[in-house]
Amino acid sequence: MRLLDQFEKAVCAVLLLAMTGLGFANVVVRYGTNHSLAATEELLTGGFVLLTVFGAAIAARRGQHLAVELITDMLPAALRRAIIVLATLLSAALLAASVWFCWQLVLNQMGTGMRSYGLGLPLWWYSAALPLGFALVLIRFVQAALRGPDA
Amino acid sequence: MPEIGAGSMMVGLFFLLLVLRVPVAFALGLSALAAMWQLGFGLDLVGDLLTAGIGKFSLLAIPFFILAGNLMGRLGIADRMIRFFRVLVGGLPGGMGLVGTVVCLFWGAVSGSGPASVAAIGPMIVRSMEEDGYSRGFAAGLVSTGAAMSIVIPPSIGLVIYGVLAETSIADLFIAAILPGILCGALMLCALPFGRVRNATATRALSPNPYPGMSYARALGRSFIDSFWGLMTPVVILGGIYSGIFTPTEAAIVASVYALAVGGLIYRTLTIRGLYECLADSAAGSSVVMLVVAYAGLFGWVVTVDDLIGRYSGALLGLSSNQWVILAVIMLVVLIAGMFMDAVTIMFICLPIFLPVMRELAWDPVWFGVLIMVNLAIGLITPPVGINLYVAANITRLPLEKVARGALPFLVTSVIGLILIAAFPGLTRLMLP
Repeated sequence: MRLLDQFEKAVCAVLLLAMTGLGFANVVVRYGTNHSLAATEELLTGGFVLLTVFGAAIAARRGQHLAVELITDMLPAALRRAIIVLATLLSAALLAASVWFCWQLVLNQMGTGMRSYGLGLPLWWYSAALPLGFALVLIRFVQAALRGPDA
Repeated sequence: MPEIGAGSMMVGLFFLLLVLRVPVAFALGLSALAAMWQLGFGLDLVGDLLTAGIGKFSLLAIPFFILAGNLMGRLGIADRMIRFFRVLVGGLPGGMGLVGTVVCLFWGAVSGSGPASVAAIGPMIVRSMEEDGYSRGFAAGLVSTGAAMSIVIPPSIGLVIYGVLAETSIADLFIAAILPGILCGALMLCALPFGRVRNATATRALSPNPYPGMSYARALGRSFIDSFWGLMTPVVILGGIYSGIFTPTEAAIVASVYALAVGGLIYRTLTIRGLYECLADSAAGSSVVMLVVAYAGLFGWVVTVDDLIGRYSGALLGLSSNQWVILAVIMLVVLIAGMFMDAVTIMFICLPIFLPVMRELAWDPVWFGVLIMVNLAIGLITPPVGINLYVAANITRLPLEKVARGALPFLVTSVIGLILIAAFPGLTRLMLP
């Protein structure tokens, strides 16, 4: 259970550390040999997309995604609560839609068999984890809405 | 098609969702999806647009600059830096106010994000300034403003995004922003005399001198050695970019590795646990920005398809035949937007409209970018939604109004800085080759 709780943090930490190492290796190689590794650029941007989505789950859980709270704060408590519920439902709907759209993207890329420009890998390898990532954002967002954000 | 186009409906819906407290990123995504639904096409592109918006090599600078800043903050480098500048200029009139301003500017050359800078160096600066006779609200205002200059002084996450949107060299933007950033900081010093509550000569209850009994030169030498590796960070980042060794993204990666090396090998203040938390915090911080970028990509697609840009920028150009009037209108729009929205969202919504105007009037894109960035920095300290004020209020446990009032003199100096940079475009060109 604790492991599940830490899942997105662990994914992000490993990913960002690996990206730092890979990026630094690329700088050293490029500076030393004047060769740039087109392959690392592809891996780094692919990792960045994953990092963004899984990092968004951490941020969702901490309530870090910016919202304008000023106007609702001026409303009576009952109305404010109703608006917060509505905002949560709308946000959850968007995240659910994002899961579905990313799933479509994966299916589409698998169907056409498109390959990446640098390494020639199947494109869906890079996007395969995105539906899971957005699903995790959705779960953390709803969790935070129900029990208040983590400190 | 109905009277109101899908694009205009989208913009209206976006603001409605903002009022309803939907997080900005999601409000962008929801209104864009609604517009695509109404247009009847585009929905099959959503997955592609989401990933394409994030997966740009230039934007990779963002997580790495955040990581480097977070690492530096955690390693205790800020503390050493404050000690160094206290020895260097703390004895001059204005004392800790001067030190606070200089440290903010210097930290701006380590960090690329305003709120992160407040959190990293704010508590220490506010404490020292209070001991030196400044009111806490004023000190919090100074830190909010000085840290806001982090998005002007390179490295800057804002300039990275501007460079991508305006298709302008991020390296050039970084170099061009140095002098304007220093100018805004220097102007802040003019506001210092207004912040002293107690007679400066009567109170010298500063926390013990970190280097008691040493001569000025010796104390300076010692504190310089203590803070050397932290002080070198801007040299590594800016020197690398200026000399053309690194691209900004590479500089961000190198800065992260540098911070890791300093923390892990030299100061040995970095633990595995600390590294883990730092990596996760940085990923979260980067995602807050990048999720806005991702959903703004959908929003931007609709804006382009529906030709909103042409209409709005045409209207803007038609306002006046005097380009200074148009510039003033643009600056005013960004200032007002800055009172309600965060910097990244403002850039994604406003720049597509402003950039064609900029090109039409043959303005220098680098100068314009620096102007926008100073303006957005001001947005970080203008209520009701000034993120830096919130962070400063949080760390000082003051009510927001007190911090906002403390920031008021600096708001004035920052606006003066903005006007000066607008009036003297050459300021941004001085350091460029």
